[in-house]
Amino acid sequence: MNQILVALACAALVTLVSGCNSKPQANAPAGSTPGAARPTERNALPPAALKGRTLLTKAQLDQAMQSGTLDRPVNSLLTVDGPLHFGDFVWNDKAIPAGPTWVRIDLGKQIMSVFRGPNEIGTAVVVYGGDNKQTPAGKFHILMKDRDHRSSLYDAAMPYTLQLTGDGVSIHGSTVRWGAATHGCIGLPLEFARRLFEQAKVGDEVVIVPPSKAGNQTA
Amino acid sequence: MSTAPPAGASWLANRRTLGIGVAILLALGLAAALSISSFWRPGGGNGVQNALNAGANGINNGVASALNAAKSVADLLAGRSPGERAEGTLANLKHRRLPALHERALPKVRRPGATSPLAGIVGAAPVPPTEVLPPPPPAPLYNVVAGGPGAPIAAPPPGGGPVIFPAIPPPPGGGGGVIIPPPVTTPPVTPPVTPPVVIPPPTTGAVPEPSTWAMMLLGFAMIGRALRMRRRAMLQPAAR
Repeated sequence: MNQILVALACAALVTLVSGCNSKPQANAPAGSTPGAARPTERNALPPAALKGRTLLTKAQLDQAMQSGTLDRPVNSLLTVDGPLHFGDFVWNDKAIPAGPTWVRIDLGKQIMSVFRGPNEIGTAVVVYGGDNKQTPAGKFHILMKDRDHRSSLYDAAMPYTLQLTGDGVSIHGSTVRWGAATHGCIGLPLEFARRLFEQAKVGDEVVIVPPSKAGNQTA
Repeated sequence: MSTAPPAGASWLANRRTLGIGVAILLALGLAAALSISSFWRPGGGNGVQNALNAGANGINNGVASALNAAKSVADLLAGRSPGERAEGTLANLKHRRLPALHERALPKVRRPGATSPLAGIVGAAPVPPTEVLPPPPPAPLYNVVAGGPGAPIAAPPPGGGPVIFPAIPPPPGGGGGVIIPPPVTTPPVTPPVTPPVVIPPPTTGAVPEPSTWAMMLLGFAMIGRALRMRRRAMLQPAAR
């Protein structure tokens, strides 16, 4: 009798263990349940791409999506140790697979993030429009690229211009320093602007998050 | 034979105990495997699992990933921010042109009656306009030769100036010295200054007046008439 009980217990345990092991395999192909696609995307990154990169967990992504910080799934962010200084940037697209390029600009934090698909490949400190010439917020698409553009309104050089609006609001290389403001454009460090210029193409999406007066937690 | 059943019972009891022990060990092993598998399941749900998951996936930055896994995305993005731009610290990249610095300077207007602005600063008296001083009157030169009590010489007035010799009364009585009259000197005659006569340039217009045109045309007409009359006078004898 005891042997039968022990055998049943073992069978139940084996069944339980096998069931636990089979759950991810059963949910992975579906892709519809929350979190099922995350391991697949994470495993898609080669080991060489994991250096200097923070993989987002499902809980982090869900929280970011719910709070509005992100409007689309993001797999990884660049690992930045401490605040960036004005003029600093981080660019790391090593072994990142191809994907659509999109840009997220947080005016309140003065931070730009360049994504290739769900992975961040670059971030930099930016300057934006002053109070009298505010930078518009929302979703834009790159209308025009010009490597050596010159402003017809202000007679100023705008290297590596990515034009966003019809009235001239653009992303371009500029002098990034503390307390600086623009006439509505997004100013980048020159080297970062060059890399973004080579990465982006006409039609790519740019999301500009307005500054929030309440601490900007929900970007 | 009587000892067989106890021996069999003990064997059976030992086997039962061994089976229970094996089952317990197997259960413990499976439980451990189950717990490990549940930790390794991605997207498990709690922070410990996420931290373990991120730490296992990270190769070189395992500790940093574990720490970052406990932060929200907003915190990760805010951690790299240099801070929000405070109001009141804005400074345009392209400074507004200051009219005082970039405006063209007008030429300085010098008015004759204006005093120098430095006069009040330095405290110097304004320079009076220079004017031609009349020549000093010729001082009579007296040569006191000798004799008689000499007249006291008046002290020079304070502030300098020409020393004035008072007139010396004639000596009483005879004797005494001889006064030599001073030579008569004529005051210098300054030539009259004639102001320069400024001849204004002739104002001739670029376009001649109608009368000029008429005179020129009349002259051409007279020349033509004279030539014509001369030619007619030369042809008339031949025609005869």
